[in-house]
Amino acid sequence: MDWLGENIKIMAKSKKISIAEVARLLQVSRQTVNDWIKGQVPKGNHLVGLSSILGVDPIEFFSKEASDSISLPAHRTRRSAKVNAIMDADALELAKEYENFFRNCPENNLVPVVRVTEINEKSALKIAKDLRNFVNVQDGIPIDYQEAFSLMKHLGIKIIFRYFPEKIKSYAFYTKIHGHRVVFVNNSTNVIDLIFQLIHESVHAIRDEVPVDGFYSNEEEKFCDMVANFTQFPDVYVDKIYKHIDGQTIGAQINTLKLFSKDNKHSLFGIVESIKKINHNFKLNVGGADTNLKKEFPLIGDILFSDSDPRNFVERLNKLSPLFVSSLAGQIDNITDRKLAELLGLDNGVDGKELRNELLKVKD
Amino acid sequence: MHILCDTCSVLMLIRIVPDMFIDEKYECVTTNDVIHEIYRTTRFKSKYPWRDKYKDKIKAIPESKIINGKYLITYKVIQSIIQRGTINTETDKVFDLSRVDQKIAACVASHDYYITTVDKGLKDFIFQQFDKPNMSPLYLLNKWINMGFLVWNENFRTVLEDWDKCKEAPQPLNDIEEFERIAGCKYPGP
Repeated sequence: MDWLGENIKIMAKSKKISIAEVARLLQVSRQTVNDWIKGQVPKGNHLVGLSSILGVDPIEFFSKEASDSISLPAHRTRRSAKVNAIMDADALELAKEYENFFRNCPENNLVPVVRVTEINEKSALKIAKDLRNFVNVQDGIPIDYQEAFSLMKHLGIKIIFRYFPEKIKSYAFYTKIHGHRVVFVNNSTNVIDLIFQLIHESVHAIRDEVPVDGFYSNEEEKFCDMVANFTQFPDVYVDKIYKHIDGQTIGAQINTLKLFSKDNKHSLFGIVESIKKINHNFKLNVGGADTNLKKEFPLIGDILFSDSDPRNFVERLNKLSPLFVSSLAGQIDNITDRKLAELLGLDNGVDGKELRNELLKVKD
Repeated sequence: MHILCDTCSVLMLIRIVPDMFIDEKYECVTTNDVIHEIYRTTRFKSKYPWRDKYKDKIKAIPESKIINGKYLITYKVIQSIIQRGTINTETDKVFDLSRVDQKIAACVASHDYYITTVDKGLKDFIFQQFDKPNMSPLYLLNKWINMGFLVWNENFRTVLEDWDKCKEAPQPLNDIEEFERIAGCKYPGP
């Protein structure tokens, strides 16, 4: 949003008012108005005065070009939802609330980037191995949600938790704001639904691919899915489960999968998708069982707001999103209580004040 | 008139002068946004459990008195200033105000009010962009004592000590000195 000082001259001319007259009405020198025309941005009270005298909307003094400081959000939608223009626009609006915050944060210069020469299964397996190594996850065990969050930290990703507006039908979305890698997570998401989505967004982040016209290609999305799948469910684990269920009745298969999923904290849907890589004809409807399983796991928002102690909230947030908490603590003197509440998805400045005191302790 | 722009300023003073928004001699107003914040359910345990006691005492300026042509232009100006990333010369950081902060700033800047807030970002913004200096809650208290509206007594000391316990913003040094001069006792607050 650039300042268009020249517009003062054009608008004054069309109103048949001289620059000297504009200066007189605003009680400033002619030189001051000339400085504005040449590019110096007037203060708020002079902008209000200019708009009134020239009879124009104040936005006429600024360029309307969309800011390129925020990349178009890349969504992980709920299963049947499709990304549409309204969803993109709402997600962008949400991201804009953080534009000045990240403008003020020092950029992370050292964040891991992975380049691959070919997009294929071999590359996907290699990236998946690297990602698992980042968080030292035990061989043959699926990644759980805490490890997925830990992975985000290693990749320099700030995670922001919000209850998404109704029209953003996503579990999460990835965007870059002033060079910062940011993933917005919908607080209404079950933790076992979140693991795959977080890993997928991590892959977007480390690949550092620039979306074309704001969209990642289908090929890129499929590749990120493949990497996320290999990362969450290592082959050894998928093989082990398949051996267990192969030859069982449908009911027994579902029960076995439920046991594994519960013990290893992942969804049934995800593991079924992985089994299909071994046996392309494998089919199992786990919709109902998956819904039941989820009842045994919390929503991410329920974890964050499980009690009313602000100290506990900051502690939990710091575990899940340490980079964002650290940025908040670093900016704490520059944010109003209300803005702090807004950044944390709360709608009350009183809550902002309580959290300020806790974040000051983090800063200290 | 003084417009109290945040919940802290209101809650700091209301226990000392419960009629500050009702009796015109105190010249205090606030907005609906501030009142909503005070009474809206909080996520976290608040340090102001007594706030409901003053529900009938905090009155807002009617929206019809706030929203006029100048307010609407000012609000757009403020949105543009924030969106383009204007630097706070006190901190060298970009101003970052919430939507409600921007509405309140528009209200202050488009009407003939003095501003009272303890929020540094809001205070700096209104001063740097609209030349309006901030009057601290302690400044208002001193003013009311000086005008004879309030006689300082030991009960009020507890409230000022509470300001400290609630980690309210430190008050300006010159207001603290003035307080000690007129109250004749050491200032017990932040």
